[in-house]
Amino acid sequence: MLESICIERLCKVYRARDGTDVEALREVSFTVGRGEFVSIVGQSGCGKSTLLKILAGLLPKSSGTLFIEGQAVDGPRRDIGIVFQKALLLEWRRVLDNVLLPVEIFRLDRREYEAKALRLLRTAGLAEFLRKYPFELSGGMQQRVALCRALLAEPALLLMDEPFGALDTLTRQKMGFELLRLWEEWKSTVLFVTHDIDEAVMLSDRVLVMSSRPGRIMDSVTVDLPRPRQIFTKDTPEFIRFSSRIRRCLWEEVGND
Amino acid sequence: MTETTLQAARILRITAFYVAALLIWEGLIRSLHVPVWLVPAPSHIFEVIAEKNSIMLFHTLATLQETVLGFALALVVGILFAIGIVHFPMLRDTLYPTLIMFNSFPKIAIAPLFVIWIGVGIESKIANAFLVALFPIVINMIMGLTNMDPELLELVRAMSRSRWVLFWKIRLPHSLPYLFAACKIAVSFAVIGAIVGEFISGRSGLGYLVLSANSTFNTPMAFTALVYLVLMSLALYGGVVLAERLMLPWYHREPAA
Ligand SMILES: Nc1ncnc2c1ncn2[C@@H]1O[C@H](COP(=O)(O)OP(=O)(O)OP(=O)(O)O)[C@@H](O)[C@H]1O
Ligand SMILES: [Mg+2]
Repeated sequence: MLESICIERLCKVYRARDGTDVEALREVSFTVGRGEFVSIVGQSGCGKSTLLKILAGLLPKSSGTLFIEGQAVDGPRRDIGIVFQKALLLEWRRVLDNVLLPVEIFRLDRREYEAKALRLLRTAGLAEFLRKYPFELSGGMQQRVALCRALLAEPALLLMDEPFGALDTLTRQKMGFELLRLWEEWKSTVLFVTHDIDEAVMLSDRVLVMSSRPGRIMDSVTVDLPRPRQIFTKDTPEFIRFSSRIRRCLWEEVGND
Repeated sequence: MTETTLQAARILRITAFYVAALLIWEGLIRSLHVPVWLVPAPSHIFEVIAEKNSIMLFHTLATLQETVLGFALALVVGILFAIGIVHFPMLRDTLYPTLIMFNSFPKIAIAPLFVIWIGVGIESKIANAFLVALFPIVINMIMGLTNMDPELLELVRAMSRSRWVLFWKIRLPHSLPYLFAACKIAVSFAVIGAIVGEFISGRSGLGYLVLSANSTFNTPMAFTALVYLVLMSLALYGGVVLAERLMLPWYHREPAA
């Protein structure tokens, strides 16, 4: 399988001005195959966002090697889509124009991508809201717009940092399935950061379990539950086995502190 | 339907309040036999308005011209200063602290000097209006250009490092509500600047009129000048509000009626 992400012995130390260094990541190594959906779970403060930001070219690494689609990471690139916990829509743009932001930044052909944007928005159930401003949408709808924006330029890799963290449980689960639908259609690689073990198991092909700071990968759990996944997948013994394995891994690590 | 009746009721209430206030004023002046040079009755003021309307309009236009030119100049220079300060460390370290220092200083105190430097004509009044209107615009504009969610900047930075893109697509539109908030203050400040300029020197404008009416104890004339001044200031403020509504439809968060 071709690799979308290849990380080896990645370390990150934040240099604080007062000289106290914070070691956020220690020797993180893993690979993610093309088209794979991989989640990262771990305690708050273990370095998940740090890892994602290094992948997005927003933070320099301290050491180690890091390749995306076979290329070293150095600065902004077109083939990555990002979704944060906040939707971060441009409040002065209507829904459609928000989704089209990458077209303007990457100077793509507007007509071609407008058709794509419409298709994405329709799939996300937002066909009737194209001409609304962000303040006229609910939090879940805003996050769907952000997802469409991230997918517009057909990124090879989608980086998501607790994208549904601000939503209520029900909406969160619905959004998870919507993401899976879009992912199956778009076939991009997804790296999905979450606190929620069940969410990670429900969505992923594989779950990486991170230790508390400094973050290391403690376990890699391949979730071979059949797709398409359904809400009732959660009640199956296999699902419960996966989630309890991850839960145990995280708890044992906490106990060692 | 109820919306419109509520609106009508509101307008009625406001009108009733002002009519009542005028009637009470009139009644008090008459019953207490207040001399006209002390406080004129509304009927007296209306008489002057009817009689001297064209002279009043001439002076109003003079003040309006000074105010608008000073304000427009402050708008242009203020926006340019703010953009410069945000983008060039050199200006941030020199111009910005100078402006901050200057801001805590009563700028009106310089007004007499302008007469020496640029004469008793319209220029010194424009300079006054400009100087007092400049600060709120620069300071708010800097806020508007910078005070955004840092994650939004990261999201854009992950796509492009172009300062041009960041400025046109994010910073500038984000700053507009801040700019309009500043304009509402600055336009009132500009009126003050123009009036003070007229107090110090000049032969036209509502400030000059108030002063000259005062010196002959022509209090009804002074009051009339104040009426025109109030109406002019309101019109200017209303103009800014109107421009804001037209330019920032996304910023007015009242639900569509
Ligand atoms: N800019 C920074 N400067 C210094 N230290 C930082 C900085 N950003 C993060 N850290 C530290 O690095 C560690 C990892 O932070 P990070 O944001 O990656 O955690 P996280 O796993 O995303 O946490 P959460 O689940 O709460 O979002 C934290 O302990 C944090 O204190
Ligand atoms: Mg985080």
